[in-house]
Amino acid sequence: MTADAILSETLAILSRIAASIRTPADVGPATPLTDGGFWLDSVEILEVVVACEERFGVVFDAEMDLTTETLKTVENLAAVIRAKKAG
Amino acid sequence: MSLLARLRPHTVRLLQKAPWPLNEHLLAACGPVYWFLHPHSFRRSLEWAACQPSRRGPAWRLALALAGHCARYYPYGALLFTGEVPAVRRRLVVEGGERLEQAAARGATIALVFHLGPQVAASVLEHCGYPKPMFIGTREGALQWAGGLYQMRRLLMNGETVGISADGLGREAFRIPLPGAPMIVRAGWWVLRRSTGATTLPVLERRERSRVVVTVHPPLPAPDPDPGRDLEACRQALTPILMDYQRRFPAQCFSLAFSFFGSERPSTRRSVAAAWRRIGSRVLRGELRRAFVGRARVSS
Repeated sequence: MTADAILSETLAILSRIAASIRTPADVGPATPLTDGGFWLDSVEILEVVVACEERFGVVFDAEMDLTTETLKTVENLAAVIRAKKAG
Repeated sequence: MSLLARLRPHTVRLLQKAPWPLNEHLLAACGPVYWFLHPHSFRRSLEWAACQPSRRGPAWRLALALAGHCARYYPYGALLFTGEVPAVRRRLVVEGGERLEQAAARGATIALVFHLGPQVAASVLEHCGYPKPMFIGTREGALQWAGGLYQMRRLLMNGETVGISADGLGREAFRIPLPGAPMIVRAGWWVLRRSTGATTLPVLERRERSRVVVTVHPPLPAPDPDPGRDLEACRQALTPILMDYQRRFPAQCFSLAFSFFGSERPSTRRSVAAAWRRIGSRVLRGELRRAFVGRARVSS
């Protein structure tokens, strides 16, 4: 799976969970998952993480992979998925 | 760091040298000081106490008891578990612990705790030989807490026993109407329960005659495929347990009385509280004394 495909799939998962009403019009790799972006709460972020695990066949490490930095933007989350798939 | 947080280690060290239960009584006697540090809490607890149908005596007496328990429980774990093992064991009682044992033997289990009473359930259960629920430290902010929820989900999927607070921070699931103030139940535990099928046992704790009693209640009904019906089933199962607790032990419901996790405090009240804290801190540092002595010297 290419880097672009991972990014677009991650965006699709986020848009589905945030629903159209909270998905920004100018959504892109730099869109934040929480404030000022998709406005997801902790429970919705958990849903995103679980959906990504199922879609990409990866298992995250709670301490190493799911930090404030990696969950900040769409691109950061996609980068973690890419790294997990490569490793 | 707040004044209370700075004083905490010194206070605990001093109190650990005093015999049990004298040390906890000394702490409770300091309760009214809490009113001066948090005047908004005093006013709020008086209003809350006035709404309690089960209180005996005037509202101020219940408000005083609330402040006493709040002070008593501040470093409670550090005092409760200090001493010889048999002496510590005599201070602890677990009711319904076999429910937790049976659930843990079957697989993933959630011990659903509340911000009521002494907040030492996990350690009490461990001391009494029951499975100790694993708690993930409270993290503020959606991103941090999402990591915590994920960690708990992984533990549950491995068949572990996890402890989570029902009434802390996060997305609201439902409210339980209680006299004085509703309890706002959060959604984190509910989502974990639904996604892992974990057996969920409400766990309540209280202090009774210098002993801590932890009660493990029967499990909540199995998750309903319909989320709305499931939420309602959970609400109906939790309501009588919490109503009974508040009726019997209103003085230990300080998180409800002080709205720890409820609505935002008005800014004027917050500024008064901050002013009290500043004065307390300056008195402690001796600044005011030095200022007065300095002025006296200048005028003389």
